[in-house]
Amino acid sequence: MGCCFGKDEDEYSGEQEPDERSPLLGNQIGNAINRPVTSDDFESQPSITKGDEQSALNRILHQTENNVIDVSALDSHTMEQHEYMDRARHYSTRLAIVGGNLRTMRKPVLPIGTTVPQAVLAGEPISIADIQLINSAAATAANALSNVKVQHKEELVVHFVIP
Amino acid sequence: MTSPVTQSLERIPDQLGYLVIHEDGAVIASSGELENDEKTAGIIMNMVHMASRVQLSPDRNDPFKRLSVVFDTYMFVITISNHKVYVCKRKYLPSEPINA
Amino acid sequence: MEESLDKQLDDTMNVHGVVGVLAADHQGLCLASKGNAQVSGAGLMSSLAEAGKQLSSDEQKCPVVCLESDTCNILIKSHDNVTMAIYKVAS
Repeated sequence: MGCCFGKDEDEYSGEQEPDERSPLLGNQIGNAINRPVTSDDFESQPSITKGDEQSALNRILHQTENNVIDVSALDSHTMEQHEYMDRARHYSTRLAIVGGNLRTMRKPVLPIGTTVPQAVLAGEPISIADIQLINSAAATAANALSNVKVQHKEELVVHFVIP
Repeated sequence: MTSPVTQSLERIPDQLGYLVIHEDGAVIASSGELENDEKTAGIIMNMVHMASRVQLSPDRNDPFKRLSVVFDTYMFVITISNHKVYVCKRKYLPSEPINA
Repeated sequence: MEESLDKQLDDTMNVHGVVGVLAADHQGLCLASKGNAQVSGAGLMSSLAEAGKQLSSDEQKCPVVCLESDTCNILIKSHDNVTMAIYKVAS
């Protein structure tokens, strides 16, 4: 989901050079989602109890590992001064190339609209019932939302104590 | 400047003023409370551009016909025709009785 | 909590002619949507509501912004920090 004008989809989720659009935690979360554990995983295998148990345990371990985001091991990509300069130069050259097009793109085309503007403008105003409907809906929504609070349930970062 | 269209805008019931704006943003005609009101024209052009991007129904080819901005006692009604934006400021006098 | 917002949106959906509802915050983040309302439209809805305010000399006054087409009307209004949009079949 994009921001305010929300027409842009997240199309930059692939593996790329880290830039301003690359997700910071993308890969880890991706892994976790790709490996759901279903009951089939356990039932379909023949009963070699010892190895089976071991592999189940391994799977649980692996699953937990995937679900945990190790904040300390994250590769925080800090930018050096020269990297900033390189990027600024790169962006300005790209802008210079597409700059001409941007100017024409900024002027959106209006729809053709109506052939009888005066008739449309002179038409019946919005009914008072509709105005009251939206007024009360907006007021109750604002009221309902004022009661919404984030419940802080558990710590986001957990320290593992290695014995 | 008078033309058949601006004359008929004058005759809209309870109108307080009108604006005719070219799609490039230039005010072509204005009168009443909106006379030479470039600021209102700018805000309305901005709203018209946003409104033309709103998808009104799942069927994509359903452009908006009229944009209204309704305050307690007055309203702006806006429509597009032939690369021009027509704005009329009218008293808000709904026909139905208020039964709140 | 958000159940009360959810219930209120359901109530609005049950009003005759309503085919979609959407609630967004004043920055255009979609908080909830039902029916025909497009989540991606949330930003436009709150921008339209904000722009509508500028048409009054008193910017505290929130107007109702209404978009009409041949088949559908959208009623938009902001209240405090919330923008509501109701999609209604044209009457």
